[in-house]
Amino acid sequence: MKNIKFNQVSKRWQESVAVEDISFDIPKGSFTVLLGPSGCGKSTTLRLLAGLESCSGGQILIDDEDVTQRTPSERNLSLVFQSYALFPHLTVAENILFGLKIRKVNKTEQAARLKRVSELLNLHPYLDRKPAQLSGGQQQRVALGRAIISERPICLMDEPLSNLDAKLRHEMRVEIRALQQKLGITMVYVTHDQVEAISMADQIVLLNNGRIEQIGSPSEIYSQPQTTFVARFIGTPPMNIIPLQQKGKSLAIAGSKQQVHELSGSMDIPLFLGIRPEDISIGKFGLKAQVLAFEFLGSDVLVDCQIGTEKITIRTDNQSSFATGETVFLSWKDRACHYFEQNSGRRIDLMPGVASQLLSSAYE
Amino acid sequence: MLQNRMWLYGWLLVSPALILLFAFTHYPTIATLWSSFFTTPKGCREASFVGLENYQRLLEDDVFWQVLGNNSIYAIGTIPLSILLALSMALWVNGKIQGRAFLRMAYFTPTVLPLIAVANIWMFFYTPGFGLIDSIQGAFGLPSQNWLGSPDTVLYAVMAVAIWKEAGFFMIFYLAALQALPPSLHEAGRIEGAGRWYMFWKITFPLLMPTTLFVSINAVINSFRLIDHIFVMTNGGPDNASSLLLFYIYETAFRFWDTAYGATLTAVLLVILGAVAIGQFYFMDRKVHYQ
Repeated sequence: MKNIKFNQVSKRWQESVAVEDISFDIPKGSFTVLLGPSGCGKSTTLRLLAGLESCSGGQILIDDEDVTQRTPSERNLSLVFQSYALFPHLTVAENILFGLKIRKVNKTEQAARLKRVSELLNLHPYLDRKPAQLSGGQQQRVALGRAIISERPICLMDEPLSNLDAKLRHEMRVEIRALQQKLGITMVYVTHDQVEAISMADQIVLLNNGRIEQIGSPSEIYSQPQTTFVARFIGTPPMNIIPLQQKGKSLAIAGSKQQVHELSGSMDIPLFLGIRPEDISIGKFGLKAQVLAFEFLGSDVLVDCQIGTEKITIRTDNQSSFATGETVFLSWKDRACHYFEQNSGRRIDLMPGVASQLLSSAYE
Repeated sequence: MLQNRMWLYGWLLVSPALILLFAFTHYPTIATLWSSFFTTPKGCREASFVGLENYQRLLEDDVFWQVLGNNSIYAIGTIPLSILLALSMALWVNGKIQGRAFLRMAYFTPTVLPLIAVANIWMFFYTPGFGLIDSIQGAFGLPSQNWLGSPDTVLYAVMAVAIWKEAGFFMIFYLAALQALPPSLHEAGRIEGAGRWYMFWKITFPLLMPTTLFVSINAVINSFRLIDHIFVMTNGGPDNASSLLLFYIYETAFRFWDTAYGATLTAVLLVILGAVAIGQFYFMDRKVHYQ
């Protein structure tokens, strides 16, 4: 087990900046996910760590040793590629043993490790096959096998599940997580899929445009998003981000007179209200809204409503259906509200307090 | 009704290809084999059937054996060297180096130039006295040498031209194959700590095998087929020392107008090429991994 430290690492290709001045720690034995939309620099970050790309600036430390200038193999880590990168002309066994053969591990040791790994991954019936004769899930396992047989303390994965179908993806997610905990590897895992990140990670590093938006545990990232980007990136459907208008001490949804928050003093900064669709309930009390659209998803329903000039999406398990144009009342708990500065998109914590006022406003 | 007419459409659709194939490949092949069993027709008498008499003559023909020997040396000398050269050039210009586009173009130029023109350039290189090679040798005080005039060196001199011409052509195939290899395979090798040499022998070379097979079959065929430069540079001489099988066939059939014997020689060439191609596919296919 080893810990990893990124110290103000940057990567530039001529004019374009892939990764800009990022710093974070990966504790030993943890499962850290680099998450973000495509082009955010997460794969570049992983390749910098693997040594497949060289840093334009900053340092990467593994167990407090500076490895920035070291070759990939000197960093003593394994990597699972998105495309698996299996050698098509070699059998499954040869693929898995590739690294051990290079390092001239003795034959009995090779055989013993191969047996252990192939049984762990249920690959023993396929050892003599070529990768092309395997299904996607089996190929994925071979790639995993090649990574873990080396018994290196750090394992990197670059979107390893993106080529699998939904059911298999779920199974592999569970398997990889279990494997990581069983072997006690420090895992760094790249994905653009928030579900993968939330369900597997101990720590999420959320990237956007080559910068870190937020670092935290899945529950921190979900419950306390630090920026509007994080707020909208995690959760489906994404969080409602609603511009607020300030009238004296009261905050109202733009284009509406209905107050959602009462300030203790006056504030000069324009704010967004962020509220997750699953935190809003439809009932007899609350803010008055018009139904714009209604979508049935099976276990729950999505309702698009309008308040003032703003559209709000609600996810509810309320099985009644709603007609377009119908008037409904929306309410939410105070702790479900997130506030962000409109200019910077940063989170701002207001004093809690006015949710109760929502109820009274319903009687207006 | 429609059902009945379908076969007609089918034949009509394949007929252009079939007609060309029969007119220019199958018919000439069969006609050649056929005429190899007859005498050469002359103005005053028809061709008459002589069975294997032409083949009998072939076995006793010293020039034929000499030419076959020449062609074997030519093939064995040019094929591996041009393939090796092609592969090394492709590996080199596939890397990240300065002036890559220029290098690629330079390597490919021999392929674009007509062999006749190329042969004239090489003639200048080889010219005794003031040719390029002799000038360089002269600068070091070495004696002048007539590369194309001596039976000992003439075959190697024309082989050099063939290698120069072929390597660039084969390089293009290797270059295309190298660029089709996913970079992640080499990255996976780097993570495991594979050195350059190990990576080449265990990853790159095996994955290039389909290209090597294709290129080597082409090389074999070309070593019997590309003789343009012989016409320009040596005319097969001196004393048949640079004559190759196809050149000998040309001489027999169209200079001496012994068409029946020309057909016999052609039949032998066809058998050799067919056997080599089948052999290559049969033996190499087992070692070739196709994607």
